[in-house]
Amino acid sequence: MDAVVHAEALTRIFRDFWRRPKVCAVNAISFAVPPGEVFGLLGPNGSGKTTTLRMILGLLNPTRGALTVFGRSPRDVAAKARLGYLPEESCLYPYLTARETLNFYGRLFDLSWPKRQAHIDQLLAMSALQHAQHRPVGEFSRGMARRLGLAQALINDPDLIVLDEPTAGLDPVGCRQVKDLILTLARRGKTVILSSHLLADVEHVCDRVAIMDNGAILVQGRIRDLLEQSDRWRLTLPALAPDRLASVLQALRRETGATPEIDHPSLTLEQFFIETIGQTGQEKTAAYSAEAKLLAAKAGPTGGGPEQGVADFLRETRR
Amino acid sequence: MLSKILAIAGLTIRTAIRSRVFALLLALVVISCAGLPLIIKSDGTVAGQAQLFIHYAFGLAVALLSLAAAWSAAGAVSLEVSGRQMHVLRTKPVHAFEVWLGKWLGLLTINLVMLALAGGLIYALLRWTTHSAVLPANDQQRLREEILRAHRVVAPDQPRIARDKPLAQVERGLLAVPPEGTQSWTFRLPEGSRPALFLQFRFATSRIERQMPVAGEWLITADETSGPYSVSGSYTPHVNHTLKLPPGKPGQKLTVTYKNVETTAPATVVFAADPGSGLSLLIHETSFESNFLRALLLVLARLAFFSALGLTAGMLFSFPVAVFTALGFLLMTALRGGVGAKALAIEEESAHSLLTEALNTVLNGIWQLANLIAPPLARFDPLNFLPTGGFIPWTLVGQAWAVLVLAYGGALALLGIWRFSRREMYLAAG
Repeated sequence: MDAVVHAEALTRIFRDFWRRPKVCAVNAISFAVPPGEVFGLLGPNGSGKTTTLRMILGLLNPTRGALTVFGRSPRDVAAKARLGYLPEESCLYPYLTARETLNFYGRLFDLSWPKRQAHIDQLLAMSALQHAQHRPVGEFSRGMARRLGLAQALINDPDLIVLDEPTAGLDPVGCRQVKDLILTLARRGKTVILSSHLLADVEHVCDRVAIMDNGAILVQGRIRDLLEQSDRWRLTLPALAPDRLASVLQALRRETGATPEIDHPSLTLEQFFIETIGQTGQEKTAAYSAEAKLLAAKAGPTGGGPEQGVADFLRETRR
Repeated sequence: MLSKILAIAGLTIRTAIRSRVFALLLALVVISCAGLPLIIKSDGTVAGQAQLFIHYAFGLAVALLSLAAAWSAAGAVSLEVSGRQMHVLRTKPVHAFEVWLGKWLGLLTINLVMLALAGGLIYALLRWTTHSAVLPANDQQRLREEILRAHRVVAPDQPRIARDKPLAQVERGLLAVPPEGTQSWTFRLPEGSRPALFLQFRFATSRIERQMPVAGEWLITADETSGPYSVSGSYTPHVNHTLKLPPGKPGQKLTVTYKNVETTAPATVVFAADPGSGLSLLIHETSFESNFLRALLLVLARLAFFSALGLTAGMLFSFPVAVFTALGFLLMTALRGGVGAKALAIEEESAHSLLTEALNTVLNGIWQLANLIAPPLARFDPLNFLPTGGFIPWTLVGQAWAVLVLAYGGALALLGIWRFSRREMYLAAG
């Protein structure tokens, strides 16, 4: 199956006023994202992940290498017609209302009036912005603007959705809703590329990740493969009575000459990320851990709301 | 494609209205136009008052709208780039030319509405200040015939210059008529012209008292009529005078002779040889309203050009640089005559100094460059016609749109679209 996004030795060098090379933001990276996959780009600040996303979106040109989106140049409008983008910062028109914003972007995709209005109603319901649909976006809170940004990214029912820090600025419930939304989109066969600092989020939603640093991809692969320690085994056994478990352990000890661990050990993505980068300080680690724990603790049940909303929206767009 | 262009145009209009730029500009235009009649001082005649009002109110409104057109166009794209709304827009299936056209159409609509409001206000004020309850009947008639009509201007053939005229006067484009002296001009009426004729003239005198009237006699002879038509009167210098003449025939040749008959305080009367500022024949063509509409269309073509200029500057540069570029170009266009004149003056006065020669070369270069790239805005300036009742033909309106909008605007559009389609967003490393 052809990759939705295919990058080969992709390089981007930023130059100064005199055209002298200043920063090599992306250095000869190669990757492919097949249809229906949720692909995560991870890396510390300045690692080149956002530059990579912007090249995929056609906002920046590669200095060297090849990059195709749906087999075309990223600047080709035919490729852009199948793409949705949520930028890191909400870049919406402050004088438009939420409904006008979605209507404007819908018109750019040549959606007919009835279809556009149906999409807008569903997306407003999905983003829980029906009550604020006639308010100017400039009066929105960051979270509301973020949700509206996500809604505009989905107005054309895109096949490829590019999300730059999709949970930035959202409260834990909002984060959970966005993650559920990404999973729903993936289940519906959409391809999602996202970049995030929140490793727990990425681990939760991504099929594959690429970890970048200093413009290069240090490692990429399926999350399960990356986190698994294949030189050790974990036996999954049914619950045993203590005397039977003791005899099993004794047998294993006799066979291996060591005291076996029953659980198969596995790294968290966060630990793996820190090990991979290698240079990240203790403060950052603590911050990541604290944030991940906070999110896990606070994220409550989301119910069927947003997920059901996007499912309805996607079902409608198929008719 | 059209849906996308109209969507972007609608967005531009909404943004302008809701960001209060529209309201601010409207307030400025209303205040400046409505306040003008209270502060301008004319030559004391009703026609002069109306002429000055049209000149300053229209000129001020055009200047304000031109400035606003260039400024708002410069920000229409560059502010969206710095606000990053353009980054999202560029990820949508929209071509650069659709962005340019959409923005330009939106700006043109705003300009059209603003111009219609300003034009309506000026026309209403003009009618209000000159309505019948305010002015006596003869002033009304004079206004109707001189100012509130559109005339075709017929320039005289090269006037016959008497052999005794000083050479310096002739070189400076002046025609001096001493006491008891005469000066003649010949006019040929155009074919198919309307019969109603007016002679318009303006002169200066050799007196120190600039406003003291001079007695004069006008003699008009037609090649086919039996006797000459003469008018005598006392005319104030430095003021436009209009004489109603008997109806003429298309293609007819008229000889107009002025005789200086001032005897109380003899003075030399000086006419400019240039027909625009000296003497000309006016032929009624159409109503003031029709001419006013054409003047507004000339202004709209100018605003469309300034919008294209600002828009392209905004597609090339950041907002401050785009505004500086657009307004700098406007300034260069306005000053190009002055720079040229200065260059010529320096050449005349001190051609031997190395420094002045170098300066002159630079100024001449700027002048030539300005002439090369700046559009001929002066040629399509409605102020050359409207205040004096000059007729604006539809061909001139068509030429203005062809030159300013299609040719210059089109070239700017191509440059802007070409650059914008290659322009990268988010140039900071991340």
